[in-house]
Amino acid sequence: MTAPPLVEIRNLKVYFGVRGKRMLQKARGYVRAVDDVTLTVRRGETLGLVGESGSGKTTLGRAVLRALPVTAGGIRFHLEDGPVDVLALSGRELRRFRRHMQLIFQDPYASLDPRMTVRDIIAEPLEAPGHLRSKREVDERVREIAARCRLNLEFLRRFPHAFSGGQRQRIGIARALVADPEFVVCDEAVSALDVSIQADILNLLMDLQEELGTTYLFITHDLSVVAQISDRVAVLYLGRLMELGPTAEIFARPMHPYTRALLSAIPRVEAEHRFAPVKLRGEIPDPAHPPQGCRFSTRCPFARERCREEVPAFRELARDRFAACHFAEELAD
Amino acid sequence: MAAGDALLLEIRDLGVSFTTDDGMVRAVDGISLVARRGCTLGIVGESGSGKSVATKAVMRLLPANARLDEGSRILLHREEGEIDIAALPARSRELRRLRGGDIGMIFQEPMASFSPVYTVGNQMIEAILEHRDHLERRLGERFDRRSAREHAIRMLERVGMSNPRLRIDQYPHELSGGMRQRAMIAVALSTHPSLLIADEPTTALDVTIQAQILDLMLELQQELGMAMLFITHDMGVIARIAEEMAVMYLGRIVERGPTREIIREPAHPYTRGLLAALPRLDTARRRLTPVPGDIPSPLQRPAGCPFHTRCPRHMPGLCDRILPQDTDLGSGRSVACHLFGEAAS
Ligand SMILES: Nc1ncnc2c1ncn2[C@@H]1O[C@H](COP(=O)(O)OP(=O)(O)OP(=O)(O)O)[C@@H](O)[C@H]1O
Ligand SMILES: Nc1ncnc2c1ncn2[C@@H]1O[C@H](COP(=O)(O)OP(=O)(O)OP(=O)(O)O)[C@@H](O)[C@H]1O
Ligand code: SF4
Ligand SMILES: [Mg+2]
Ligand SMILES: [Mg+2]
Repeated sequence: MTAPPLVEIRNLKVYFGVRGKRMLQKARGYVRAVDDVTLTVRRGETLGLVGESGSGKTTLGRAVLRALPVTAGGIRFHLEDGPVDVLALSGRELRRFRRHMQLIFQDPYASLDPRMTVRDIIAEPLEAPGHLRSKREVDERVREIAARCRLNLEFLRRFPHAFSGGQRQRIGIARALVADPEFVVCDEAVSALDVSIQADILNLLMDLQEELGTTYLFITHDLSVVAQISDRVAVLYLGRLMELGPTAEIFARPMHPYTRALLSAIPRVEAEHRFAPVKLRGEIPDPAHPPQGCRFSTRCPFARERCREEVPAFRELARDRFAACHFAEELAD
Repeated sequence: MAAGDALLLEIRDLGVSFTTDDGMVRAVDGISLVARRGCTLGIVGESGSGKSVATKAVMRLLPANARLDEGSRILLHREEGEIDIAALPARSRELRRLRGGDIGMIFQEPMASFSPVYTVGNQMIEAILEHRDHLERRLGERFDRRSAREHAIRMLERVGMSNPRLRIDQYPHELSGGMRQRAMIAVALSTHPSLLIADEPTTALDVTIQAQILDLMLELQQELGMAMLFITHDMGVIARIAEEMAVMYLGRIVERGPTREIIREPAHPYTRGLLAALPRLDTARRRLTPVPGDIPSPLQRPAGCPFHTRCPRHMPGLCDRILPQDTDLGSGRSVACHLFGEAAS
C-alpha cells in the first residue's frame, strides 16, 4: 500500500529572466529552471531528486518551500487538519506555516552564524511564530534533539567554528529538526563531506526519519547516495522530469535513456550494471536555449525525428513507474 | 606490458612540512611511490591527506612556507638520463623546462591554470613554443608559430572539441566547464609529456561529462604511452582508471598495490573502513558503516600509527606508540599496519 501524499506539486514552473550582455538591457529570455513538473512526495518517504548541474534541483526544492517566486503551477500540503494551498498563503500565514518545512543545505560552514552558540543556532526555528514556549522548554527541546543527533551536550555552549565538517552538519540537522517539521528538503546535505563521515550523516538522517516520521526531499548529484537513502527517485534534466519510480527498480532497470546514461556513467567499485550501458556524447545544452521536442534529444543515442519535434508526455509505464520518452517501451530491455 | 613496465618516476622518502601561525603542519610524512610508462597510479585519500601537496612537490610548486625534507628524492628516469627533481635549484631553467614539458599537469579548477586574458590558442601556442626542444626530441618536428597553431588545433580536435578552429580563438570563460577541462587536457598533452599529473581532474564535473573525460584520458595515454599520476578522493574513479593505487591517510601511504586486489580484499583497517563506508548502487536503504571519529587536526598528528585514533583494531601500547612500517604482502601489495608486521605475531 502506498503512503498518502504529503506534498503535491502540480505543473510547477519557475522561470528566471536572463539579461543581455549590457547591464541596462531588458530581460532577453528565460531560463526555464523548472518547467512543468508534476510530482507527489508521500508522507514518511525519502524522495531522491537527481540530475546534472543546472537541471533545476535546487530551484525545485526552494520553490516548494516558497523560498523563491513561482512562475506558475500549484503546491499543496496535506497536513493532519486538511490540505493547504502553499502558493496562496499570505506573508503572515506563510511565516506560521514555515515550521512544517525545513531546509538542510550543503555547506555546513557557510550556513552557521559564527557569533551564535550552538544552542542558539539549534533553537532558532523555535522562535518562529507558532512556537510560544518558555526558555526552559526550549532548552529541553534543544538538548533532546542534540542528543538524537549524537551531538555532545558539552558542545551546546560553544561556537561553531571549532567543529569539524561532520559535527557542523549534525548541528545543521538538529536545527532543521528541532521544531519537528513534517517535510525537510536536504539540498546536497552530504556532498561536502568525506565518505567516512558522510556514511555517519546518512545513517543519522535515516535513523531520525524512522524515529520522527519525517518526509525528505533529498537533492543530490551523487547517485550512489540516492541509491542508498531514498525510497523513490525523480530524475530531472534541464528543468523537466525524465523519470520517477521506486529506487531499486530504477537502478536495476531504468526506463528513460537519460537515466540509463546517467547510471552507466557512475564510476563504480562493484560489479557491472545489469542493463546495457549507454554512453553519451556532447555537452549539456544551454538552459536558456533548451532543445525543441524532448530536451534530451541532442544527446540521446536513440533520438529520432519525432523526438526533436514533439515533447514526450510524462506517463505511467508500469505500476508506480513514470518516464517521459516516446520510445520507452521499445527501448527497455 | 614489457615496455609499459619501464620505471619513469620514483619518489623516495618525500616529506613536506609547512610553517603556519598555529605551528608546524606535517602534510606529507615520508612517502615512496613509483610510476611506470603507460600505466596509471591512482592516489586516493580523504581531504587533507596530503595528495595535492605531494603532487605539487613533484613539480616543485610548493608555496614559500613549505619545506621539502632534506632526504627527499624525486627521480625522473628520462631517455636522456635520470634527474633528481628534488635537488634542482628552485628557479632553475631545468625545472621550468620540466613543468609543462616532460611533466604535464591538470588541476581540479581549470580556471586556475588558464589566464583569463589570453585566448585558449595563445596559451597553447606559448606552451608549445616554450617546450619546442622537448617536442623536437619527442616528435622529430621543430615548431614555429604557425605550425604550433596547427598542432594546438589538432590537440583540441583530439580531445573531442567540436569546431576547434573556432574554439582556439575563444577565451577560457567562453567555454563550458566540460569544454574547459578538455582544453586543459589538450594544453597538458600538447607537449607530449612522459608523465601526466592529474589532481582531481574530473571532480567538479557532472558524471556523464566525467565519464567522457576519463575515457579520453585512457585513450590518449595508450596513444602517447605516458605514465599517469591520478589523484582523487573517489574510489569509483580509481577503480575505473588506475591499475595500481596508493591509499593516503594523514600524509602517509597506508596501503598500496594493484587496484582490483585492494578493492576486492583491502588489508589496512582504513582502506577497509573507506570501502565499507561507500554507498553502493545495488543496496537501497541499507545502513552504512562509517569510519568512527573524525580526521585529526593536522596540527596534532597522533603518535604511532596515524590511524590509531579511529581504528577498530587498534592495539593499545603498540599502535599508539610505534609507527608501523611497510609490510610486503606479495604480488605487488604492501601495507603499513601492525596487524601485518612482525610485531603482531
Ligand atoms: N536566481 C537565478 N537567476 C537566474 N538563473 C538562475 C537562478 N537560480 C538558478 N538559475 C538557473 O536555473 C537553472 C537551474 O539551477 P539550479 O541551481 O536549480 O540547478 P541544480 O540542479 O541545483 O544544479 P547544481 O547541481 O549545480 O546545484 C540553471 O540554469 C541556473 O543557472
Ligand atoms: N599552504 C599551506 N600552508 C599550510 N598548510 C597547508 C598548506 N597547503 C596545504 N596544507 C595542509 O597540508 C595538508 C595536506 O593538504 P592537501 O591539500 O595536500 O590535502 P589533499 O589530500 O589534497 O585534500 P583535498 O582532498 O581536500 O584536496 C592539510 O592539512 C593542509 O591543511
Ligand atoms: S597499526 Fe594498529 S591502529 Fe594502525 S591501522 Fe593497524 S591495527 Fe589499526
Ligand atoms: Mg543545486
Ligand atoms: Mg587536493
